[in-house]
Amino acid sequence: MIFLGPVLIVWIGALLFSGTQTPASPSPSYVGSQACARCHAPIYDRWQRTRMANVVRDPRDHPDAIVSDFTQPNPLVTFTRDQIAFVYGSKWKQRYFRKVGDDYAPLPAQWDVTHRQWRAYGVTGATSGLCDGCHSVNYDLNRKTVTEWNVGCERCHGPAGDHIARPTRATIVNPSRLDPKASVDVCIQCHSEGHPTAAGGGHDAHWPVGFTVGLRLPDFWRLDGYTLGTMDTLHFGDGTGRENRMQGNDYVQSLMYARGVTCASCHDPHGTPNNADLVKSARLVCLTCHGPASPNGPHTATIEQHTHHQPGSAGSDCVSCHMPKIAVMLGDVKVRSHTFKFIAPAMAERLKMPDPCTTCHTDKATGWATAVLKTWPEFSAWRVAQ
Amino acid sequence: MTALRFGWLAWGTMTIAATLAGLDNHISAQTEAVRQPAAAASYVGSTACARCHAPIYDRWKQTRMANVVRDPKEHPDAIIPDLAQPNPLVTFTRDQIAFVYGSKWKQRYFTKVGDDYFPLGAQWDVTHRQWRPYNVAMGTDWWTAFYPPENSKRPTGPTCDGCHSVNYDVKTKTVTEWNVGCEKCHGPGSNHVARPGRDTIVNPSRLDPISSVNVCLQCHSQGRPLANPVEGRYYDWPVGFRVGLNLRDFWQLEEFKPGETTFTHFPDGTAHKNRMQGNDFTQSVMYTHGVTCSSCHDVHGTRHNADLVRPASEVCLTCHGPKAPNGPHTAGIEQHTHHRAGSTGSECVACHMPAIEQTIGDVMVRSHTFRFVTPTMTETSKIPNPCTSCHKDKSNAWASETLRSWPEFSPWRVAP
Repeated sequence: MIFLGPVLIVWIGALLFSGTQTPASPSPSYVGSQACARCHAPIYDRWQRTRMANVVRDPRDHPDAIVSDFTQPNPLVTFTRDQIAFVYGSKWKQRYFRKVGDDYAPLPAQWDVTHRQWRAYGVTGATSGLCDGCHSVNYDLNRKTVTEWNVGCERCHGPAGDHIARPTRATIVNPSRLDPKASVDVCIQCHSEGHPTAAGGGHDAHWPVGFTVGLRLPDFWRLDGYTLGTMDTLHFGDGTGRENRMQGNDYVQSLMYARGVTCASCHDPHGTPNNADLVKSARLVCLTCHGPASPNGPHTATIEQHTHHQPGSAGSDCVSCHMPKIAVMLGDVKVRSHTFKFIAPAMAERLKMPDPCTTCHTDKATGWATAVLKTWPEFSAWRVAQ
Repeated sequence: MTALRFGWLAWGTMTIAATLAGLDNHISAQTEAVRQPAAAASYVGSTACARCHAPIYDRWKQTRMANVVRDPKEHPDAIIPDLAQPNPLVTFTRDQIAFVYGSKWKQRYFTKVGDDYFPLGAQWDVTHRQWRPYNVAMGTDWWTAFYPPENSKRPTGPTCDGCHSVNYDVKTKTVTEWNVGCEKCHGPGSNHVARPGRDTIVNPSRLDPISSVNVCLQCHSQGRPLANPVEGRYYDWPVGFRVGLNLRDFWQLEEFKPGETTFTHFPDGTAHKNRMQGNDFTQSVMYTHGVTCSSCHDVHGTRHNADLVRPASEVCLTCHGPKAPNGPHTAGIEQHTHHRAGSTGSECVACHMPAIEQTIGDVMVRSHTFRFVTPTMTETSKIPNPCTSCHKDKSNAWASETLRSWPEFSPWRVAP
């Protein structure tokens, strides 16, 4: 007992520590998602059908992965199906890559899924520094190898070698048990625009080289900054993201983030029947925490009194005003912003950025929207109409 | 028997319904009275309130609210500097001063010509005990475009008097009283004097939070009247507004555009001059959640700085604290502040209300957005941050590095 005491303390300490912040062992090993299926079959099966698990596909293994039209000749399409080593994407756009040595390179046309048409794709260079770190598990920038392509289990749960050997909470990272910031960082590692820090080896990459879940993302990654009032490639003048992949840049500006709400509060990346793998439908998910009787607001007797749009109408959805579709995905196809703030039309006009009112009421001017908002007594004119 | 019981039940139900209906009418009538404080009501002056509200009246009498504007003939001690000491800036004599304005930060002097008052050319910096010139330079405030540059051609009626009095009449240039008397915030009181009841007076604390804040915002903000010009003149206060009406029908706050430094705003929208508490506060999260000015200030006078309901070091902790859902979400306050308990840096206001808004010269008052301005923001937008405003020998980079090492905070927010 005298000898066991300190050992126990160390062991318990290791248990607590490894379960929270640090990776399970100093030299963790990746095992691949299939190894998780043995014990976590239902969640594995669910995940297998998500886009997370299927963004990157080899058309030789999955001939149906190519959703574009190769039958009609198109001047943009200077390549054949046979040259495609990987397709990326299926929901909004599909991009094509050919293999060059031990690397991949983008082909010059992409498919706009919404409009069913080809568009030019001008990005050149190897995918290793640009894409592969986020579209795989355990990408090795020097050896250009992966444990698996796509966002497998260990992308978010960390290397699982120890967990396979000794399956307990202490040997795996569960993002839901991390503190809210670390939990959000699990998603931010890829759902953000930024640059790697020197800590990851000083690579000029487009993903956080050196980061694995369990480490501190801010040591490896800096979000791209913005200057208030200046619209740049990535940001509107108020700091809201202009491009897709900026959910993290947006979200860290939100009040929900400051209050400890995490990505997983709304999304289940293991797959759900709802759009964007939301835990409930977009119409309902906000109302889990918000509602007439909630201290989180809105502070009105009914939801309708807050939205000023008919129940069931598009304008009555929380996301219509708090998550307008203003971040460019491809051409005129846009995805929803994640700051959750209401962009006042008057401010939008000053900053030459879109606002939720006239994004929907496309035949109306911002002046009209401001005048209407002034008549909504539940709102302060100083906030919504200034 | 059954019929009888039903009869009683019906009677009872009808009585309750009638009572409820009556109550409902009463509530509507009262709400109406509060929103429209008896159109026919007239102003009676603060002394009329003293009869019933003596303790609150006595308290108010000692506040700056009640004493900013003073006639030195009635209050010879109102003039702070020694006018006998010659100073090239001071080209006027005691006898010319009809009104002094201010005593805490600065004191300005006004002379009467006809039925108007005009600013004199020197002001007293109370902090540094020194004279400074007083003339609003052309182009530094929006209204200078509509007035000649000389003080002698800028009457106080359009620029000052509406806020520094009760019931300033733009036509007759008369007031019910000078300074912020009871009726500035409670509306005209004649009906209440005749029939004292809740429904004959406005109580800002019973208004909805937006209207309650507007009572203060009518003067504690930079903006412009929607009606400008009024009878050919450009006013700097909400002409036509009185408590009970809707301020947004009379006033618009000075616009800001993120990224631009203007006379009124820093690039993030924070004010950088005094009289802008309203412009600041309406940007705050507290405002959206229904906190009002009177949650922290009691304008009838308290023993504390700025008429706070409690000392500055305590007032925030009324609603905020380790166990509060309002944050900060740490086990102890010290864990949130990262400054030693009792030190200047440990006060909520040190980081959430930095003194960065100019009142005179280098004398600054506290911002009211309550947000933390990051050192990165100083680098990109030239707005002072609370860290290096206090740690004057340190750089913004030092402040950002330090913030990154504070585990309770997201570096994406405090040190991006």
